[in-house]
Amino acid sequence: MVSLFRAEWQKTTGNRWAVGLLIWIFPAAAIGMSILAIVISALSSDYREYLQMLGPIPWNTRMIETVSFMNNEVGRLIILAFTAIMFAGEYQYGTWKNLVPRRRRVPLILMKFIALAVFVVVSIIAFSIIAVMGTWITSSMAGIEFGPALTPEIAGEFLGDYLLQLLITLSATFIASGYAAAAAMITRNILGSLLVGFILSLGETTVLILTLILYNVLKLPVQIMSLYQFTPGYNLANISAWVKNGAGFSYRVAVDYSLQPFSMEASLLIIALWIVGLIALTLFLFRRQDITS
Amino acid sequence: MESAVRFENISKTFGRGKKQVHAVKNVTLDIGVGQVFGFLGPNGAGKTTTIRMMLTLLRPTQGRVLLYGKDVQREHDILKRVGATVEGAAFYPYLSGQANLEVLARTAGHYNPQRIRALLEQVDLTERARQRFSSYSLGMKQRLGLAAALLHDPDMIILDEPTNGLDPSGIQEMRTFIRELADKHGKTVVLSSHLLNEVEQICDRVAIINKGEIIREGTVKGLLEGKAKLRIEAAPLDKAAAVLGARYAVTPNSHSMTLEAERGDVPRIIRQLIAADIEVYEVVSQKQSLEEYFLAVIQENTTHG
Repeated sequence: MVSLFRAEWQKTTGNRWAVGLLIWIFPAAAIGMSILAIVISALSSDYREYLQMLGPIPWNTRMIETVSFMNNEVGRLIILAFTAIMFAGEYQYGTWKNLVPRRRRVPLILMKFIALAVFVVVSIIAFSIIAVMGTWITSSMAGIEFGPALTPEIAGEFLGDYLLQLLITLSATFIASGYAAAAAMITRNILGSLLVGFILSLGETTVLILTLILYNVLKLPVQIMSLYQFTPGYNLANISAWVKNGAGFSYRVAVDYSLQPFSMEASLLIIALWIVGLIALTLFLFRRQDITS
Repeated sequence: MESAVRFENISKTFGRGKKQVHAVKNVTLDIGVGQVFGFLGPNGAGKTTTIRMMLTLLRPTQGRVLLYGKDVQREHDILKRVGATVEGAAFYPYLSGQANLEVLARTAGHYNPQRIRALLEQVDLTERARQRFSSYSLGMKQRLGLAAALLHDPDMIILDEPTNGLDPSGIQEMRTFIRELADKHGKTVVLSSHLLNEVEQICDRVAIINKGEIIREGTVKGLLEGKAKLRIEAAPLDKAAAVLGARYAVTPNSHSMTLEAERGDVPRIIRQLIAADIEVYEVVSQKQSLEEYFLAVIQENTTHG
């Protein structure tokens, strides 16, 4: 399996434009932003004063904040594009016919998901380390204290929070990737995979609109709107709310009806089921597929 | 004869309803170990579909493919004994030739840099090994495909149109190379081609496939021995044509006529002409080429099939 992982890594990193623009763009953006902040700090006393006015930025908070940078619409679209290239690229280049006789289909697909996860994790960690280093340099230039000191308690607490935030971001990107990968199996085309994956990820939000219409037009029971709570979008927001506020994500969907938030554990379970389900769907579509290109 | 490949009544259908296409129909065939076997057929006959089923790229609608006695759909590991290029060499365009081979070797779990270097040298790509695949000529792509097929030193090599894009000397080299694989290294080679002259020179056995069905199968020599094309010079020619026309399809020319007959019929034909008081000046048995045989068989199958 290590050998298969290296094969996946080699062919993906070999596509320098795709990896550069869709994966290393995150750490590259962190480098760019840090350099910009350093240059402005060096040139502008006003900016240094402004930083002093803002006060110290704890490195642990900054590092945790940066992890969620990828977890937005643009970030997910970038990951969708990267997944489309990884999965649908094999159809477009006609290379499945070289791979399928050499390995069973299931490990070939699973290794793509594993490689994707590694790329995303490496990119996120690199992004957050670079961003914190940039903050440290600009803080030093502005004469602001950069803390807190790294004690075992702080480190332990930080690590727990950081990993949880990493898990949330990774889950969100995996959901997006799952849509794009399943779409790749159907469309067999990079652009098709990207478009269908994007439409599917948008579909989450339309569930809420659809249930609103069902409730208002067809006069179905208001509980129909709870269906939204089973989408990845709601559950990711709910987990984030639990982490940040210690309370679940509640949403008033009608005058007399608010969604009762799930517990964090329930949301984690639903997200896990979505991820497993999307990977299983991709495997199911690929396992019996005729490779004709 | 030990069987390297056995097709057991395989069929492959694409599409449904009115759009249904029967690409391969009830093919049953054995290919022996150490043979060079050729699939012949016009475009769209079902050659590549048959090869794809051998490699699990396509799932037969009916029947099964056995490689060295094992059902390839159930025991995928048997494909470790097989190397193949299917329908033109396709690789990652942004990777070099060498990197493409490395990726394939790692995918199969037998990465060996020395072997890769040796193969690149064997297919004369050492100098261009580090250049992008997208910059390769068609011939170079074909040679890289051959290197990929030989990467893990398989017992059986499947080559789909292996000489496409090669220049005459490249075709000659490929021909020699394929024969050597069988003669010197005991490999089984299965190839598909529409270059009949090439197949005639390389293959031990051939199967002619048309509209998804195998219409002839046997050794090249055996297939060509069956019928002879006779050129007969006799006088009076019109009388001779009338005598033989009752039984054979006779084509009269200015001074002679030609007809196709079993070799065993030749003495009887001569006796028949003499008995009819026709003077026979010359009977020439012209050896049929595989190309002529192929075209005649395809035409016959298209007309009567």
